[in-house]
Amino acid sequence: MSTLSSPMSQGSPVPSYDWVPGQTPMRDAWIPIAHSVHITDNVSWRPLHSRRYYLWREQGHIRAASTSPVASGAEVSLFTDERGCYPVVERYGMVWVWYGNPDNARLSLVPNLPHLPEDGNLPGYMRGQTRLHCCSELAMENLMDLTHADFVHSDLLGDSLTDDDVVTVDSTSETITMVRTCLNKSAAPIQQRAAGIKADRQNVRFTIHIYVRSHVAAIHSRFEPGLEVNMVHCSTPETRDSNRVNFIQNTSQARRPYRWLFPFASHKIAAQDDYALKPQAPRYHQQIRRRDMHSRFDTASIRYRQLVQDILARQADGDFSYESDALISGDKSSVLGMGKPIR
Amino acid sequence: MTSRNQWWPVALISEVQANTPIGVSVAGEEIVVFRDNTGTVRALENRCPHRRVPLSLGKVRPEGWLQCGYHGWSFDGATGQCKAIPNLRQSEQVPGAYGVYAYRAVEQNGLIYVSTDAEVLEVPAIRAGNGEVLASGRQMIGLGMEELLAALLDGPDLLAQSAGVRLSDILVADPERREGALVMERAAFWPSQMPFYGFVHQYRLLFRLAILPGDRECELSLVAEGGEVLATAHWAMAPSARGVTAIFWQLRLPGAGGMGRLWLQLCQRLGKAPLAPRSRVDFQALSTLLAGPSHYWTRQAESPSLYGDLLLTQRAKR
Repeated sequence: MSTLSSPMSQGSPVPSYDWVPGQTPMRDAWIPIAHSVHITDNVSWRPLHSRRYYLWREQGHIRAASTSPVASGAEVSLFTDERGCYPVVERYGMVWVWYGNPDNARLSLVPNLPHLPEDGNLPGYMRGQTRLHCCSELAMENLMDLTHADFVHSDLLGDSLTDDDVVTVDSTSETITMVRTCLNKSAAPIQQRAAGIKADRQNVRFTIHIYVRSHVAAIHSRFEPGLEVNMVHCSTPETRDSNRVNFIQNTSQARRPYRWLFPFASHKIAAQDDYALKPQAPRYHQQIRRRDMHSRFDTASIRYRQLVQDILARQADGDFSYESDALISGDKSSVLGMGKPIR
Repeated sequence: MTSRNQWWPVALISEVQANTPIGVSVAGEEIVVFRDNTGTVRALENRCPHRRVPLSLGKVRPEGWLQCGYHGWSFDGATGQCKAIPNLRQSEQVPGAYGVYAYRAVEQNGLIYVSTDAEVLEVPAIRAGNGEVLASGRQMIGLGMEELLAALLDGPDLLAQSAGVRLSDILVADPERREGALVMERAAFWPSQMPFYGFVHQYRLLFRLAILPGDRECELSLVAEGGEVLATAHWAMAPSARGVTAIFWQLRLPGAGGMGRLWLQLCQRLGKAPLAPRSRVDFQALSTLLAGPSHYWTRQAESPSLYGDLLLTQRAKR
C-alpha cells in the first residue's frame, strides 16, 4: 500500500508553507490593464488588485484615475497623484497603468515587446481577452511550464512525443527567460490543418520571456518546418484569485487561414488551461504541509517562485527599486531568438 | 463519526468505468477512484504532488497507471508511487519518494468502499439485500449524517420519496435494537386507502426504518400486513464536503408478488423509485419538523436502563 502518510494525518495545520501565490501584490510596475482600442471617450473601468481604475480619453489622450471624472471629488491614495490620477501610458496597443508610487513611474520600466509594433497597429482579430480563475502568478507559471501543453492543449499544439526535450532557463532580478527546444516533436494539428504544414514531426523552439512584476509574457515560437508565432500574454491581476488575460497574437507572418484562426484558438487554450488552473488555485490555500514536487522541466517555475518571493521580500523591507540587471525596456529580440534558426 | 470503522462508500460500482477516474470528497479527504488495466478498483489522493491539480481530471494509461491531465505524471494505483514523468530521458529516473497517498478500496454489494484509515485492515461487512437491484443511484443531501439520520427517524417522507405510498406520522413500533440494527416502524398507506387516518383500523402497510450498526447505512422497507417485505432500499451514507451527505441507494423488490409489488414496479418504471432519496428536500418543512423518535433516541442513550443496550447515538459514543 502507500508509502506516504494520509493527507489528513500530517500534523497540525500550518498558517503558510512553501509557495502560496497571489497573496501579496508586487508593486511599482507597469501593468497592461486594457487594449487601447477598448478605451474610448466614454469612461470605463478595470479592476486591478481589487481597485477600480477608471479609464477614458481626453482629446485622444489616455487618462486613468481612481474615480470617474463625472463623479464629484477625487479619491487620493498613495498610488495616485494629488488629483487622484494614476500614471498611464499607451504602448504596443495596450494601456499600461502604474501600480505603485507614482513618483517612481518611469517610461523606461515599460516592458519591451520587440515582436509587436510599438504603436499597436495590428488587425483587431489578433487581440483578445479572456479570464482565468487563479492569481496571475499561477497563470504565469502555467505559461512557463510548457510541458502541460502536450497534455492540456494536445489537440491544438501536438502531443508529448519528441526525440529530445531540453529546457534552459536564464533570469535577472526582474525577468525570466525559458527556452524549450524539442527535436522531432509531433506536429501541431492546428498548423497541419490551417497553416499548410505537411510534416508529421517538427523541430520546435519555444521562448518565453517573463516580466515578473508586470505579469507580462513575451512569447516567440519557432517551428521547423513551419512558421514563427509571436505572442504577448498579459495576466492582469484583477483580484487575488482571478486575472484578466489580455493577449495579442501577432500572426501577420503566417499564411491564411492560420493567421485568422490561431488568435481565436487562444480562447480554447485559455478554457483548457482554466480547466486545470481553477481547481489548482484553491489548493494552494489548503493547510497541507507538503511541498510541490518538481521535475527538471520545472526549472523555470522554480526560479519564478524564488524571484517573486525575492521581490516581495525586498518590497517588505521598503525597497521598490529595480536592480541594474533588470533592463526592462532593453531590446529583447535576441533574448527571444527572433530570426534565429533552431539548430 | 465513529473511529472503529473508517470504510466509507464512495461510489456505485456502475459509476467507476474503465479509463474514467472519478473524484469524490469523503470525510474531509479528496480521493480519486478508478479501475486499473486489470479492472481492479484503486483509490488515490486526488491531488497531483507536482502542481496540485486533481488527478480525477486525468486518464488511465494502458499500463493501468493514473496519468495527471495537466503535465502527465503517472501514478501506480496500488502504491501511489509516481511511475513516469513525460519526456525524461532513459537515463533519468523518477525519484522513489515521488508519489501520492494510496487508499485501500474494495467492491462490496454494488458499492465501492474506501478506507481512510491505514490502520483499519478489516474489510467492512456489508449487509447484502435480497432480490435483484431494480434501481440505484447517488443523491447528495445538504445535511450532515447525524442530522440526516435524525430526520429519517422523525420525518422520513421529507427525505425519501414514497412514490404512491403515503408514509404517515403514526408510529407503530418504537425504535429498538434488533440484531445490532436500530429499527422502528410507522404506518404507511396505499393510495386506495382513505386519507383520514382516524378511520383506519388496520395497518395494512408498514414503513420500517433500520439504521444498521455503525450508523452509516440504513434500510428503508415497505412491509405488507402479513410481514412480507415488498420493497427495500439500502442507503449507504458518507460525509461529503460542506456538510453534505452522499447517499448511495439501491432498491430491491424482494416480495413474492401481489398488487402491491405490481404497483411499486410501476412506480419504479415511471422513474419514481419508492424509498429513494428525494432529489429536492423541503428545507422549510425540515426546519419545522418536530423532534420525534430522534429525541426519544437521544434520551434513551442517556437512560439506557429503559431499553437495555438500545439506541446508542453518535453523541453518546463521543
